[in-house]
Amino acid sequence: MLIYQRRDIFFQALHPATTLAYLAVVVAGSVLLTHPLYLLALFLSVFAALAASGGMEDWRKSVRLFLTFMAVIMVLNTLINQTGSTVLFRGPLFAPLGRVVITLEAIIYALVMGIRLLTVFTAFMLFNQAVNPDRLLAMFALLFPRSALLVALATKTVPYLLQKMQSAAEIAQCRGVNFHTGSRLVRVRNRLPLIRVLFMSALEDSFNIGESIQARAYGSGPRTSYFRHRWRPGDFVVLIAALAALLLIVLSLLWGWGMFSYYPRLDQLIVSPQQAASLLGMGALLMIPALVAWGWSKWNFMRWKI
Amino acid sequence: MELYAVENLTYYYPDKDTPALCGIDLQIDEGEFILLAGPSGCGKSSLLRALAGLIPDYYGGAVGGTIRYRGRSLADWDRRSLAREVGLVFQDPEQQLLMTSVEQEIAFGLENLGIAPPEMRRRVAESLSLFNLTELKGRSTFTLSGGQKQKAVLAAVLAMHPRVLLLDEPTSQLDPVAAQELLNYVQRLNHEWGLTVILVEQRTDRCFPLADRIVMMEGGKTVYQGPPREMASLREERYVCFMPPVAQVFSRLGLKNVPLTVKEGRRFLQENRLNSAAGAAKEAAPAASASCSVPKATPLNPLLKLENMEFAYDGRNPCLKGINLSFYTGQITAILGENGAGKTTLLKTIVGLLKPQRGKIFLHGRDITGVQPEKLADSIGYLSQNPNDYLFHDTVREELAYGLKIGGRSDPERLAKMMRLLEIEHLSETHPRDGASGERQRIALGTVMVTEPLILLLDEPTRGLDPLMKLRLTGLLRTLQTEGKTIVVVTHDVEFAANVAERVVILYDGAVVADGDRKTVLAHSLYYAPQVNRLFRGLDGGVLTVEEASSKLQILQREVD
Repeated sequence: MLIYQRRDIFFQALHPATTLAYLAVVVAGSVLLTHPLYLLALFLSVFAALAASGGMEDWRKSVRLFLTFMAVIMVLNTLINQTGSTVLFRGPLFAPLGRVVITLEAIIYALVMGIRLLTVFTAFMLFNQAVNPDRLLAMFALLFPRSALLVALATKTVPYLLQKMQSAAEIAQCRGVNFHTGSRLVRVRNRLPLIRVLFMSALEDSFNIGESIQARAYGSGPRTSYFRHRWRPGDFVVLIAALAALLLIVLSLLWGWGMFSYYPRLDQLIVSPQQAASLLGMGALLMIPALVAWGWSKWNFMRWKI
Repeated sequence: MELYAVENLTYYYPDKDTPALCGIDLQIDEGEFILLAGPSGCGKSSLLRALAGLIPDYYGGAVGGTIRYRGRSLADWDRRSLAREVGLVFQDPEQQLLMTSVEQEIAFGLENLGIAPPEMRRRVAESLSLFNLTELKGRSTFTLSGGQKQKAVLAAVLAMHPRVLLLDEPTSQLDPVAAQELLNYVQRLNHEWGLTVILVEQRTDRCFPLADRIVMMEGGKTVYQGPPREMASLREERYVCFMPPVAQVFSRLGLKNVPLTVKEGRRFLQENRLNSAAGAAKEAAPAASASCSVPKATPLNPLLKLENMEFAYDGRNPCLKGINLSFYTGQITAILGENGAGKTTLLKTIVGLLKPQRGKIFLHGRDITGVQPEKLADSIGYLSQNPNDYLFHDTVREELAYGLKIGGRSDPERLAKMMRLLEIEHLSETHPRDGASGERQRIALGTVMVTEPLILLLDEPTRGLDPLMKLRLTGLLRTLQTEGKTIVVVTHDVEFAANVAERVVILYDGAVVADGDRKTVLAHSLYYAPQVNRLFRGLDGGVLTVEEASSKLQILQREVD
């Protein structure tokens, strides 16, 4: 699931730098801005882009775990944060926490935090689907040859190690090691040898891969890159939309439109027509890549022109 | 034209007291096809790495003597120009693929050499076409089969347009069909492109006749160099097992012109009128050397019984279909079949790693379907394809003792006995991963056998073993058999199966298509007939092993005389 696969989607046809720029703007916006409507717009745009790339299936599968994690954070925030002034519920005294007080502001704040995290998560999913690691390596290898190789090896290593772990665990079971019963300590202790197997195999394997790379002249001098990207109108559309959206985000930060204070009392959502315009503008700009990706998958005409 | 001139090459790996290479002298001409053979650990791989400049560049250590490549000492070549000249393919394709897609993998070396993009695109396209990989170019290397992976590795090396191709046991991880395909490519590159090929290979039956020269090594030295036919006529007992089975049969006759292939062998039989005598002999003694028990006649109850077993990984499409098999005490069974026929799946289902959707498994008449593998560990020993998964202690002794420790036991006597049996006593205080592949294999087998299971399931135990070790493994399995162990071997190696097993099962597409005495199953088989069986096809179908063929040949000669 987390392995890149070549598929017929718009974002894979783009230059990796274009997709990266777009995703960077979305992530930067969701980290810097605090206004709930801005954050909602960011989430909707990247969610639409993922949906237009046919990534909903994977998103649904992996979002469940993420949502439970998020729910825990949200509940904790609601319970612990007591700076809000609209009290909904006043509970009993708990020794370490003091009195449990649930406020409307804390609930809203937790919800918005959740959307923010979900945006980053969705952007990551899209990144995984859209950016070819080989091309990413090629791009970065021109800038930082050594670290790029390291990154490439690392991305390949995770699924590889998982496979190895699985087979080592099977062997251990066949030798009579029990992973399922006994106290927690016993179970953890039974798993320790697997780490040793993994560690030794990984060391041997990396030595061999290193040898193969050496034999194929890696690092023997300046490198060239196989990928030639034909810049297409789609690249420019996405880049311009992302940059314009970035400009609006910066402006919203400077003028304070993108900021929102939750405590002690929730701010007014929209304070000026300029703010409304910048919000709508940013949302519309960031929605463009999703729309183009959708059109790209629907009409051949658009596929050739964009 | 002389390409390589190796003079008095000696090499010590770092922190080692004995040399891996010891006074090697070797000349290699452009366009030659050289087969480097010899027992494991004889220095073949080290020599190959020295020719590629990886020794001492990548490995360190101490080197004496010189290697000259095209008249210039290897030390004077810079890494980039040497990588343009010399291509290297290693054993395990998994450990050579770096990129996610096949196309990018092929481009990787070219990028490193700084080839201009237009030239690079041409070379990638040509390389993909040459190896018939165009359809796979966008595929993730994770999803390829072993044979496809190794082909991608070869294509990636060839795209760099080397003059010399060095191959270190390139087929040892592949099934016979994929191995044959890879060697066909190597042969074509040598014949049609004039590429110099230096090949290290354990299974020599396919590549022995292809070579212009065989270089035999032992203990870091070259002990013999010469054309294959000359080597086969030497009657040197030490070298015999490194030849293909047909050559082994005829080399004992002391001929000048030893047949090396089935075709040459059959012609020899015809020319010497041995074929007509064979027909008569067949009438006279239909089963001259049959000494096998037929499983169906075995009166005992089966030790292990699979009843109508079906298994599907995805829960829908079965990859084991209605398997009915019984295994009897003291019997060695070989399971043959193509890649993906379900051989490994079958073993994993028996040990309990996979739970069959349908059917039952009985051990001693007790239903063990769905029992956790750890509960079966005392009765069923399972050796997987990768012995490394068994080795993680600091010494071989601890490694073997671990098997007993899991069950809360300790029994130094049994450990000593096991190490004696497997001939690994001298390694008992060394690190289990220090050994060569044959040693690792035996140590892993020891970890499985130390609990004295009744049944041994071995998955591809001959992978990466040299012919001598294969003979020792055969002997070991026979010894275990006399001790009453039941052994099931999954293998691609037909010759090994013919030598060791009395019963052969063939799986095809998840179902048993043949099961019976080795003679009835292997003889006359189109696909699974051993080489010597094809030699005597139409004359005596019961001949399966080199020993049987040799005695058959003697009988025939006596009759003609």
